[in-house]
Amino acid sequence: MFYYIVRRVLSVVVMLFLITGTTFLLFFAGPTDPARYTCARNCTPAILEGNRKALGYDQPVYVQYGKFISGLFVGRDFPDNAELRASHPEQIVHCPAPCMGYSPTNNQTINTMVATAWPVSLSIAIGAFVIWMVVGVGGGVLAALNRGRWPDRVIVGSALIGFSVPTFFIGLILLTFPAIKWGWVPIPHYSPFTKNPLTWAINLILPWLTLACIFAASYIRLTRAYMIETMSEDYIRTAMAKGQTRWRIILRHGLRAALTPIVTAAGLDLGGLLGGAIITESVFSMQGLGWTAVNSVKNMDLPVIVAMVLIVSTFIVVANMLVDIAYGFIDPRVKLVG
Amino acid sequence: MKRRTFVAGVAGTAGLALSAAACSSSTATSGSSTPAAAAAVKGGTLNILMSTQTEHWDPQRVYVGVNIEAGNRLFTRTLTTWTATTSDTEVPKLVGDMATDTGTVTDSGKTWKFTLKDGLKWQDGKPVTADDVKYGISRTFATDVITGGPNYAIAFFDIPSDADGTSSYKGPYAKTGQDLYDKAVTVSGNTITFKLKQPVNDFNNTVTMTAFAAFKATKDLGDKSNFDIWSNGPYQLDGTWTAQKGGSFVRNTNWDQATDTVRKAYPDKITWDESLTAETMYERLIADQGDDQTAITFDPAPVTALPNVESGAAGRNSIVASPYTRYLTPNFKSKVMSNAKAREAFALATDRSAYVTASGGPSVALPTNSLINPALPAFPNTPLPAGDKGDQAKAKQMLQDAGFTLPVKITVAYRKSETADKIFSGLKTAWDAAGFDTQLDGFSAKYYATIQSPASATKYDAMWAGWGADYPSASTDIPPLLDSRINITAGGSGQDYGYFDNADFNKAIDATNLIADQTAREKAWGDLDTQAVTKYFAVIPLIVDKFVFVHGSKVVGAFVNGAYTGYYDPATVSIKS
Repeated sequence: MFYYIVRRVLSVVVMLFLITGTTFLLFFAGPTDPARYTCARNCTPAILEGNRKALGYDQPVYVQYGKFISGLFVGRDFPDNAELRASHPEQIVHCPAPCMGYSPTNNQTINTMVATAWPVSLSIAIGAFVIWMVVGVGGGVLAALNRGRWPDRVIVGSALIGFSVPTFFIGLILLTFPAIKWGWVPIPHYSPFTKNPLTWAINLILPWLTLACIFAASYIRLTRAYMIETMSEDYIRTAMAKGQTRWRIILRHGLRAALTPIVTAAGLDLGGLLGGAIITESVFSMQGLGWTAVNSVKNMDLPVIVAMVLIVSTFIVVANMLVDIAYGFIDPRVKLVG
Repeated sequence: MKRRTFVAGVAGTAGLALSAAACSSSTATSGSSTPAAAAAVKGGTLNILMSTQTEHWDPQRVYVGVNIEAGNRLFTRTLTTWTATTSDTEVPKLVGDMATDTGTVTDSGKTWKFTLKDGLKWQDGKPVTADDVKYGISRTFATDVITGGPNYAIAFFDIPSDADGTSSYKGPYAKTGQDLYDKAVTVSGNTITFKLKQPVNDFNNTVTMTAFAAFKATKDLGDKSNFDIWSNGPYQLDGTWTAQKGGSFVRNTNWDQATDTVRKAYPDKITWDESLTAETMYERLIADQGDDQTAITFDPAPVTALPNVESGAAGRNSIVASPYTRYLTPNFKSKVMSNAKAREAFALATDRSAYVTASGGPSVALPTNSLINPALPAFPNTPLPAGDKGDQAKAKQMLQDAGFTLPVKITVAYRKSETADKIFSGLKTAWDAAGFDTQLDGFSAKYYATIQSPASATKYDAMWAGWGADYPSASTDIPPLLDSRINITAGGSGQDYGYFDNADFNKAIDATNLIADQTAREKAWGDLDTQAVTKYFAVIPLIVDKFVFVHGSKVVGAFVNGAYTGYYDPATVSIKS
């Protein structure tokens, strides 16, 4: 088990290097001049050259990538200009490790941007996750146990609707009616959990419901299918024959076995969401990582795009690893050997 | 278009657009139905909702109308400014703001002198001095750090240039050429004097831009100061400004109403949220619930919101002509468009009615054939070559007569959006009917930076662009867009996107600049506009947009200051208790 974990962690590190390296190459070695995007309409060659130098775009790509990676471990200064540091140290921005870069569009280090955006995405993801897991798994189990009868039809039918409606549509409906038109809940505006947990929850309820609607639908179908499959296994019949109670069989023998693939899906979905729920955050103007990513793409803010790719891929890759490791605990059939 | 502010001119010529706007809606001047003076009380919170993000608050880097106006009204006072208006159609007056008056000009337009009022203070209580103004303007010359702002100081001040064309003064950080700046800008007590290279008879309009505002040297952190707001106006930042999100403002207790004839500073608090989408924002403004009742915005309504504005926001909307003209520039470096007949045929085939329809109809856009905005005194009102629809058959004949083999392949660049896609597919239909084979290339990210880049010179045959004047003189229309000498460099086209480079035209620009009489000078600019459009086919003006704004029901005194920037003017806004 220990060696397995070590091996997985190492492969995660290698994978992240590959992902950032590729992204970096695509953006910075491509045919577009990234400095061009830092310089607006009354740009002159002198300004362009200055920006290029200030951002280090005048150096070869491998040097830039090296600086990006070393910044992650030891931090960086922007602009990396010894002359300016000597004459006007107050104009230098220091970005401590793990430094993800500097956004010329926002005049901020990406660390600062992530530090304000990350709690928003985390809040949205956690709340939505709890709701969809309860509704999705619970609904799926109920549907499976009532297979073919009306509760099954109602649950599966509504799941189908939830599954087929796009996120932005549910989001806009929830925003327009309960918030804007009827005023039942305030117009969502992120307020930190540490300030007031109740305000935090009230402001997040609509984004939570939006995401939960979409995800719960697929979890209902997933859980139902796996539950039906496991409940028809021989060992369930054996357990029944041994005279165990119905709920013990459902929970201990049925659900636990059906849960394995669901945990995989849940881990990956949550990992992806932690990197930002792009549509939900945009609809509700929640300034999380997804919203930041959309804005950086809109503004061609290349350093931020690279950092966002790093963050999102880290979450997904790490979530994937955790899921694999968790298998060893959840599924008695899986034994992880080094 | 986003980069330019707008200031309109004398009422007479503004009539066309403004009266049309007024006709289109009984509520066009609805804001004025509640006289500001009667109901205005101090107190309350004004919520500013925005869907466009502020790039800079550093006064020397601000070049967007919204930020010039909001910055000037809230925390960055300027030497002169425009008065607030009491209706959407009133034309404001130029008045002294930090200066006691609108300045004194001598040396036939080459020396300008301004005297500061007493009692001007920064938010920490220290006095605002003429040296602070001098220091502020000097930052414009540090072009490697203070990017984005207008370059008028560099263009106008009597400071020599280096061989590469850049100013010999490199700004207050490098200090190279500081003596040259000190000679051009002198301070004596409360008085600041500017020596200019050429006569600039409207220089006191130029200094309404915040690029000519004061900056406290000890607060200057270069690029790091971008969002550090250090106020000398009625409001100061409460906490910090967060890029792309916003901030909130409270009263600056060191601002003295007695020094200020323009700003009424009614609300106690102002919040600014720029993280919204335009559609949701307008839905909220129209729904008028809770805090949105005390909200205004500087973003015009998106087309999707227009049908609901008059019914849903009656009595609290403004429908006005926008400061912006949209136009096409044929590329003189392209093989096809270097031929004058091809440009003429292209202009003739352009179907402005398709543009208007796809934009959302006549309540959203007006066809035009002048580069200069209808609201400016210089507006020449050049007639359309063949009505709104153009004449595709005649254009086709013209192409054939000029020896082209049809279809003539052209590529047209435009700033992509859902609406723009529709507009350009309509324009393409007409161009193709006239014998062109039009390829469209729409993209939105850093549109202007891209079309200015040298690579675009060989890629596009025509490019879409937009422009609004900086102040009510066409000297901020014609030279910035069509004078090749100040635009074209090895680094690209500047704002002369189509590389129009004509010695006679440039000479005429110089001659016009020297005309001392304002009326004659503006008329000469108008003539140059007509020449560019009908003689050289250097630009193909398309339309003037209309702007629709909505404010909350508890906001009193929100009027669009069309002549200043074309947005709600926060100077006189108050909140109903």
